[in-house]
Amino acid sequence: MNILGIETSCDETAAAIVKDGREVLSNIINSQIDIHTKYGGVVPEIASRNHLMDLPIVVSQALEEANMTFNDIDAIAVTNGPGLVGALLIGVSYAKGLASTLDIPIIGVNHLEGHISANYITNKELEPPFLCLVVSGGHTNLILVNDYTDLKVLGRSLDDAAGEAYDKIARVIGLGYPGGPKLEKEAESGNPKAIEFPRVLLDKDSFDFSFSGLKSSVLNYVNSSKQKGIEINSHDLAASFQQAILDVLIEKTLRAAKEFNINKVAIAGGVSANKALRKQLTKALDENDIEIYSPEFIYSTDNAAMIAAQGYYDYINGNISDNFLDAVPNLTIE
Amino acid sequence: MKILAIDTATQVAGVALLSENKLISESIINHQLNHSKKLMNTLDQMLENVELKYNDLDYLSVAIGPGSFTGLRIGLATTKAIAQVTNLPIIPVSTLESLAYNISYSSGIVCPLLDARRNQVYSALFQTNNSGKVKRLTQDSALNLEDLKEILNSYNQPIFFLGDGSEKFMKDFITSENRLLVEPYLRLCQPSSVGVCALNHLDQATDFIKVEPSYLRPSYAEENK
Repeated sequence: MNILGIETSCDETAAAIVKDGREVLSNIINSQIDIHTKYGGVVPEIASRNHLMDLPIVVSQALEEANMTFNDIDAIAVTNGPGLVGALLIGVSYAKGLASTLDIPIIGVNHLEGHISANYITNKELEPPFLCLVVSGGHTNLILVNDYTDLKVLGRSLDDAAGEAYDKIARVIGLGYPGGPKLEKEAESGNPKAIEFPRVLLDKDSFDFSFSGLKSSVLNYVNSSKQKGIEINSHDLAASFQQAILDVLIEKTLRAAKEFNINKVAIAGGVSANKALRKQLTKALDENDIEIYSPEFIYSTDNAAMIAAQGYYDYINGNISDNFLDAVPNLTIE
Repeated sequence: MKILAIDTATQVAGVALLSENKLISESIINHQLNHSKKLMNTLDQMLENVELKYNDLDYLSVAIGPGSFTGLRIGLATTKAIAQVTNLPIIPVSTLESLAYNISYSSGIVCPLLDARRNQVYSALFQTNNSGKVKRLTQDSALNLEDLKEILNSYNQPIFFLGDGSEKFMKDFITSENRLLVEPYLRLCQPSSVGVCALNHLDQATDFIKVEPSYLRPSYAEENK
C-alpha cells in the first residue's frame, strides 16, 4: 500500500511516499529556514505563504523520485496538528483536494505520533510496546507506545520544550538562530561540570518536565558574570546547560522504562539527533539491559515520510478521516 | 464548456458550476469562518448533485484576493490540488472584480469595499453601463479611507457600494443621493460571479504552479523589518 504523506506544521514543506508504513520510496523536504533566520524565528504568515506556493511542487518531486503518478497512490496522510494553524491549513486543504479528486482515503496524522513512527522506517524490527522520548523545538514528551495507534503520554513539558530552551540559551550566548545544533557544537569542547545548574525533577513520581527554571538560572549566571566583569566561557556554559537538560531527560526515561517494565526505548524529534543525548542515553540504558532505537537523522527532523508511516498504521487500524478533516493547532495524543 | 468557481476570500464559502449560458449549481455558506472544514464537502456534494465529475469540466476558477489571508490560501490550496490531479487550467479572479459582476447590469461606478483593517479598505473601481459588461477603471489596492474618498469625488456618476466592508464604512462613503448601498443579498461575494468573471478572462488561464494569491500586503513581519 503506497501512502503519500504531507507535512506543513511549521517551516518545512514536505512530501513523501512510503510503502506499507516502513519502506520509503521518496522523501522531499523543502526547508524555509533561510527565509526565517533573518527574523530570528519562524514567522507564521511567511511560513504559510511559502507552503502554499511550494507544496504542489514538493509533491510533484515526491512522485517523480518514486517514479510514480497519482494513480499509484492508495491513500493520503497529512499532519493536522499540533502546529501553526495557518501552516497546517495549507497541508490539510491541499491534501483533502487531492484525496477527493483521486477518490482515495484521507488520514489526518498527529505530528508527534509521526515523529515516533520515524523509528519504524529506520528500525524495521521495532514493534510496540516500547517507550518513546520525543524531543524537538516544540515538544518534550515521554510516551508509552502500547500499540501503533494506542499511545499514552506519561509526561510532557509544563513550560519550555527542551529544543526551545536550547534556542533561547543559544541566543543569549550569541550563537544565532536556530540555536540547537550550534549550541550542541559549542558544548563539545566545554566542561559539563564547570557550572552547577539546577536539575528540575518536579515531584519524584512525575514524568513531566520543566526547563524554564534552568533557563532563568543560566540567564542569571550570564547577567551576574557580566556585572562582576567576569568573562564567560561559552563552551563551558553550553556544556553545563546541556548536561542539566540531558540528566533530567535520561533520569525520567530510565525511571519510566523500569516502572512500566519496558525493555525497548526509542528516541524521536529534532533534538534526538543530539550526539551527547544519544551517547549518554545509550550508556544508561545499556547498563539496565534496555535496547535503544533511534531514527536516521533525515527522519528525526520534520519530514513527511514519518507522517506516511504513521498514516499507514492509522489506516489499517481504521482511523480514517473524511472531508471534514480540519487543522487542530493544539492536537493532543488520545 | 463548464467551469467550476471557488471563493473563500471573505466570510462566504462558495462554490459554483456554470457554463456560458447556464448556472448549473451554486452553494453559498455565509455563516462562520471555518472554510477549511466545509469547502471540500460542499464541492463534492455539488458535483454529486448534478452528476458531474472533474473530468467533465474545462476550467477551474478561484478568487485570489484581496481578502482574508487564510481564507485565500484555503481556496487556492484546494484549487491547486484539484488542478494538479486533473490538469485543468485555473483562471485566477480578483475578488473585487467578481463583486462588480454581482451588479453588472447597473449603470455607473461600482466600488467594492473589503475591510482591510487599520483604517484601510481593499478596493478598485469598475464601470458598468446596463450591458452586463464590466470595465476596470483602477487597480486592486489597499487604500486609506481618505484617499479613496478623494478618488471617488472625481466621478460624477451614480456609485454603487458592495462587499463585506460596505456596511461598516457606509457613513464614510454614502454621502449623497447618487451613492447607493447595494441590497444585502447582492452585497456579498458570490461564486457564480467569480465564474462569470473568469469566463470573461479565459486568456488569463494558468496552471497550478503559477497561480498565486493577491494579498496586496506584505506580512506584518516584513512590513516592520
